[in-house]
Amino acid sequence: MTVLDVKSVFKKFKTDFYKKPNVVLKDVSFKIEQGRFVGFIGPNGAGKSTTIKCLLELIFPDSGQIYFFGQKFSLDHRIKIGFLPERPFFQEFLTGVEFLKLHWDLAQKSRALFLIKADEVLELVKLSHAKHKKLKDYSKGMLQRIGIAQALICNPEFLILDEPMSGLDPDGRILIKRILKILREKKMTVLMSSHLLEDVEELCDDLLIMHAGEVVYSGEIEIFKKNYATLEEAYSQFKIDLTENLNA
Amino acid sequence: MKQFYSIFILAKLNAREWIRLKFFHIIIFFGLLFIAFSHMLSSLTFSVQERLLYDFGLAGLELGVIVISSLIGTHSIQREIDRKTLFVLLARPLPRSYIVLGSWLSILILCFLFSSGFLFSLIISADHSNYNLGLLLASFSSLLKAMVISSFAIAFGLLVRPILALGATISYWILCYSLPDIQFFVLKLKDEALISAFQVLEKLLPQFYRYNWKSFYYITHIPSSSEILWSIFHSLAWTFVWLFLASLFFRRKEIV
Repeated sequence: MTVLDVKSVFKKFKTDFYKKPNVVLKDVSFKIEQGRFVGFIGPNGAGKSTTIKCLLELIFPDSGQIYFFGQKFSLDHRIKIGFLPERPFFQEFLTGVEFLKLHWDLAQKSRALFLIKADEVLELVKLSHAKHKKLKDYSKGMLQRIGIAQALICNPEFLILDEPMSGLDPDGRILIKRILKILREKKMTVLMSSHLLEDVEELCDDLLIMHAGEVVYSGEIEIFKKNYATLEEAYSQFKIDLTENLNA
Repeated sequence: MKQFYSIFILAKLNAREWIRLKFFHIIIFFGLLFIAFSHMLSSLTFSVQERLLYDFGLAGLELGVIVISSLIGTHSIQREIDRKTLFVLLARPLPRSYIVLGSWLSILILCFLFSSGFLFSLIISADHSNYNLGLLLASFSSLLKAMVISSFAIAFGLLVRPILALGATISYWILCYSLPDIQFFVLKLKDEALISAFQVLEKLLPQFYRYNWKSFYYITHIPSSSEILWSIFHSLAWTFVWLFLASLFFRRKEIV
């Protein structure tokens, strides 16, 4: 089953009245199938975050369609989506458990089940000990983990993670990677944007590469790197070929 | 019904956020200062002590409520966008209009907390007050105006930068009070075009001067129930208009 189907999405931003608009997404099309862990990579400014914002309707495409579970995106689909933003900016005056309760209530879930679910996700992200601590006292790694807990608390069917491991220390990265591996084992559909090829190679089934606002590769990782030992090597060669093609 | 509960959750969240900020504490400090000044001023006069105490005190109450509604109204949603805390909230199944309504309701909660505290302090510090009902109505009229001003501030805050929206909101508040003065000068000039322009302006602005009950005269001469009802409907209608426009502006706003 196709969880996400993006068809010919275009997006341009106008920075100034007199300047030419900057085209950020050019005919972006891709599909994500159920149960796949998709790595979303590309250089800075390639359009990864803009694509994610379009998926969540934080910004609106100029043209093109986005389908979730075979239907046009609607409010009801958001119940099925969990989202972790690039940087965990949360309401720092809330405690961990209050923060989860906020998102649980906003998703209009039954209050009776909250404590059971909260304990479950806090256990998963190893934050049970800090659930009554205020978020302002959390370290960056802890904030990232409570962000994942927030994304998971409403039992989403599709998870969007925008650079979940950026800026974390090695311990934090290991811990987040462990959580993501559990999600992979559970066959959860995940779209993970990342700059860390090593992590993408370790975690993901599929790969989505963006370059200058276009999707330049969408498919299985194994097929992408079949002639190379690592994803990094395959990606480097792919970029060289791509630049040559563009210059030609 | 469960969906509307989300508005209350957002309002509570926003109100909690602003209560812990220095801005709100400064407003409370100036509120207390106003009460102290109103006592000092009233003690300087022999004949109209009560009049001065309540006129000055209630002016402080309205000023505080208007500062809260205009400043928070123009900044609340933009602040969430700048701090990126809105990203995860908007990823939840909430219509964007709920964010607007939650923000507006939180301002109302803050104004209510401020005016209740202010009124309580004013009554306690006045030793004995026989005008409790009048004072309550005066405070209520300020809250009605805060309803309109905060909805206007939110709508404008979504269109332009908060600082520009703040200027527009304060001008709007002054203009809503100044209609009789403008009318006076326009009639003096006897210019048909200006008179027509004023008639249009009168229809485009709420008439705050018609329920300006924050004075000693009104706390001793309680307005009639029809006046009270009119002011409630008038404020609600204007609030609805501005909240509707704010929701419309926010519906397609890009959160970059």
